[in-house]
Amino acid sequence: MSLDIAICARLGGFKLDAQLETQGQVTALFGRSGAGKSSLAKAIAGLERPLSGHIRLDGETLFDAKTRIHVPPWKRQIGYVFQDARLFPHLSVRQNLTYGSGPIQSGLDQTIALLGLEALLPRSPSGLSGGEARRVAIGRALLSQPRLLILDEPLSGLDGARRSRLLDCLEQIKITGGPSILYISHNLDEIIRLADHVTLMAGGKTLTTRPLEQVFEHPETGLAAGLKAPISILIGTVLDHGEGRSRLLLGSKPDLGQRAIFTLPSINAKPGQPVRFFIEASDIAIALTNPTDTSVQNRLAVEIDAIEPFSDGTLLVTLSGYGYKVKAIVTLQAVRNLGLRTGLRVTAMIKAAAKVRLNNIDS
Amino acid sequence: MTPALTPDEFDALRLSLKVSCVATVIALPLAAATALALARGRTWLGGWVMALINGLVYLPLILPPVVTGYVLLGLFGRMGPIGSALAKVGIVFAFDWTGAALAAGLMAFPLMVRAIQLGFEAIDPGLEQAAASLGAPPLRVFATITLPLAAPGLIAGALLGFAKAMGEFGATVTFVASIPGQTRTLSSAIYNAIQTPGGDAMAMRLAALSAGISILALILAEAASRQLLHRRQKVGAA
Repeated sequence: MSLDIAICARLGGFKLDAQLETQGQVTALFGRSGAGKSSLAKAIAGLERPLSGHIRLDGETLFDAKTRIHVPPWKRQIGYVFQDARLFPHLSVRQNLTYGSGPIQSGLDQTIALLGLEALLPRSPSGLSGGEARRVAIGRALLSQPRLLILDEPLSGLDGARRSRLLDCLEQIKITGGPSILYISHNLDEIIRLADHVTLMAGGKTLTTRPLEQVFEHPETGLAAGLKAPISILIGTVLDHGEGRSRLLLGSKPDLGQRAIFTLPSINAKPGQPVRFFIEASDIAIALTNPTDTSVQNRLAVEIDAIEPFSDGTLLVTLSGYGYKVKAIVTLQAVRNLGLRTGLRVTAMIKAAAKVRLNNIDS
Repeated sequence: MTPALTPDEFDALRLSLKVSCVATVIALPLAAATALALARGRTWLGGWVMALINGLVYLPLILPPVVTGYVLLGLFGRMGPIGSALAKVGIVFAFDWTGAALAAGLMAFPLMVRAIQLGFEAIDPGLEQAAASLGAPPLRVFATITLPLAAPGLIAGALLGFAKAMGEFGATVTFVASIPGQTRTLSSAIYNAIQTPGGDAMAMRLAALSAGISILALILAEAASRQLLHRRQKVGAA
């Protein structure tokens, strides 16, 4: 999918000013509630008409204010899974699923199996739980054979088990070559796990669009879009599992000689499989030596790349090693006491491995 | 218990049912279209056009029925501009049951529009957006989403319209008078019976009949909307 957007829109009292160019299978819109994510998605789907600018999908102009092109939503082949599911109350789950599928209904059985909808088919939407309704809505949109599938906070309001089940389904859709996805969320876990490209949004504006690994490089934009702390996104390869832990080697094609090993709580991935994960800057501590008398298992030899002011009394230290850069928040006092400076070789100690989040990259 | 009806009374009953049914059936699609325009038209029709339609629709409700009947007589009577033109193609309203149907339909119209409009306004436009995003063009959205969801409003509108048409008196008697067998509906017959010395028993019988039909219509409409709701809940069985 390639998406090329530059629009201004006014929806009620809300002003949207969006510019983004992206390609790749899953693009995420990340930002706080009220950042304009849904408004942008509605403009892409043709449900809202912008005041100016253009929207192009795979080279086809869907909207252009200058040439007065506004392709109506039913001709755009863009599936939209709304936050409130919007199942048709007078139709059964089966009738809902096939509403947009045309007479051939290709892929009906696979979609039903993928989303686990067999038992729900004869039921009325009014009796479904939130998670069930969401799954039916996703199936209904998939079966309309869209070239782009918009998922608006598909996991919000779901509890742990249902959430992870639906996340697995979405990952399956991605892996099995489903439609391109525009994924709206304010939840970092989901973004890290699914997205290839990310657009950060705040206050009705798009801030930046980059590949996932690079999008949080500048802490200010990440924080503006709603991150609690700067994060670093890394790729690791599963080494082995044991004693409730899994070990990862840093890098997607790791050089065994470097031995940069992460120990994490047990993860669900096969040895040799690459995974994405992130570390919050506040979970990294810095030591001048490599202490062996500590409970922190993840200790990496790194070099200080940059030190910049972050907030009152703290500094953001960029550490590089093994071809990666990670960011750590350190107090001004600690930087002074340890004599931290650019170029110094130190040990990064990564605590709280439980906060590391994973994303299975296509195997 | 059923009191036997005299032939005159039976004629009045038959005429009232015919007039009310025809008035309801013809007014329903027009009322539905008007209700849709009032519920959804704001995006394509200007504010003052909407206000004009709204005012015209509710005119029969606020005008005295006698005035409405008088206006009908002026427009659709044999000498009226519309009536004389229609008479050339063989359509006559004046002093005929068709005129009673016209008067009843016009008087029922605002009530029907109101009920149907509420039905359309109760539909979440998000459902129509969802249908469009699944590739359904506007006509299909209307036929498969909007109309079925508006069905309770349509039933309520039809019932109210029918009940109003059954009870219509003022405009009807002004426009088409009260000719036995031609324009004497139940309501006119009741009025006539009251005016006739010794007609109390007849008036009582017809009043009971009139009330019975209205209550029956109410029960039928209630049953229909219940059936609809029931089907909606167990919709998967099909």
